[in-house]
Amino acid sequence: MAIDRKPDDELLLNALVDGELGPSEHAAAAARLAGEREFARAYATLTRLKASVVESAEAGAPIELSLPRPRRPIKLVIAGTAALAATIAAAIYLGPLLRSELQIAAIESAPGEAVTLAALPGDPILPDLAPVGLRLTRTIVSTSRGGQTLVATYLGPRGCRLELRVRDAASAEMPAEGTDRRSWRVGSLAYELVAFGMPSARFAAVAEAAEKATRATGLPKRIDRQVREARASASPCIT
Amino acid sequence: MDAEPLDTSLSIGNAAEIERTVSRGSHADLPVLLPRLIAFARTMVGDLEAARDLVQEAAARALAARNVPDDAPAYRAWLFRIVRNAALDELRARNHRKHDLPQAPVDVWRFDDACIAKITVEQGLAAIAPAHREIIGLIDIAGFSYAEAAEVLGVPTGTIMSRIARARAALLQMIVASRIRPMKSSHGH
Repeated sequence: MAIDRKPDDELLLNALVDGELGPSEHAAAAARLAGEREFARAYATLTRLKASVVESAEAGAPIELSLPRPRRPIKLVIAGTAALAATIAAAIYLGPLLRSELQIAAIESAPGEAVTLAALPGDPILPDLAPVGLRLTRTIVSTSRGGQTLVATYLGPRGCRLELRVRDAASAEMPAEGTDRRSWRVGSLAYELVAFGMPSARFAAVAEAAEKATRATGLPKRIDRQVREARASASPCIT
Repeated sequence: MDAEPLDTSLSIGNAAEIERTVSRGSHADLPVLLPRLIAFARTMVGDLEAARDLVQEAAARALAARNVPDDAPAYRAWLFRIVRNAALDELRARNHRKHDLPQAPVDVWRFDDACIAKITVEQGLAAIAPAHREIIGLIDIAGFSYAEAAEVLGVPTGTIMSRIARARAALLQMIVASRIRPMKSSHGH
């Protein structure tokens, strides 16, 4: 079967895969996708290639930062659940000295397990979102007049960032920010998940999974599948 | 270089001094950018340990710099340029051999998608030319838009458009050349 290729079709397809087309160009490309089998097939090839490249980059580069010329070094070696609790303890203990920007922890939570903390009343739970490509990288306890808030930061390899904030439901809320938010309560704890630049559809799926995990440990299979699909089809998060 | 050796820990020196440094100006974005920087560096140089070293070095350079871009997008592009230059230096130091593309041009219009899998892509990325890895790393792994990648590389946006198309074609060529056919998995993506 003859293929009706235009000179710039490969550039067009790549731009389409990368979300770089303007509205009118996108509409024209969408019409070709619907009407031209070979065009749609090439688009699928490039989409799959891009998804596989993203996947290949997610083999697990831990977050780390050491700064030059340390004096009186304090070394935090973080690994697993126990170390996460240690981070929280360190954050509280060092609170007056080290504020949020310094508590950059390389946290490797146990795969498939939620992490339970005892830093706040009511046993707050930080869900493990690694199965959906979001790594728990930092936890801090922010103290304000309204009380303590546990802030957990999750990062993905393509710029996605989420913050899960856990506080006593009776305390004051933290200032609104981010591009998407979802709040819920579990017992005496108030949870709030805040997105920074994540596509809304993916955020909705991730937030549902996170909420479920805080209510009952573990990702239900149905939600796990939904979140993975949302992740595969989502654009990178650019904040 | 007086930097602490890298491991999987966070080394914190004089707290007040570092707090001033990291929180000053746009350096507050540095921790958030680290995963993308490491992933990009890994794509460039091929292995995680070298990528960690590069990003560590780049972070140290950034923190020591006198002139730091004020706004977040410019800061991000500036950091990626530092990592990119470090990666290119690393590749030059390794006396990286030239990559010869397979002779038969790939036909994206008739490509067998079953060949595309994590393992074949990883091998393909390792085999393509550094310039191709660079643009794929910026667009697909670091998640830059074409305009942002153009700023990092100092080229027009149209150049990015053609470079990413060529790079993906090269990657598909390498996947074909590897002759690896992934087995079907019971759990797809």
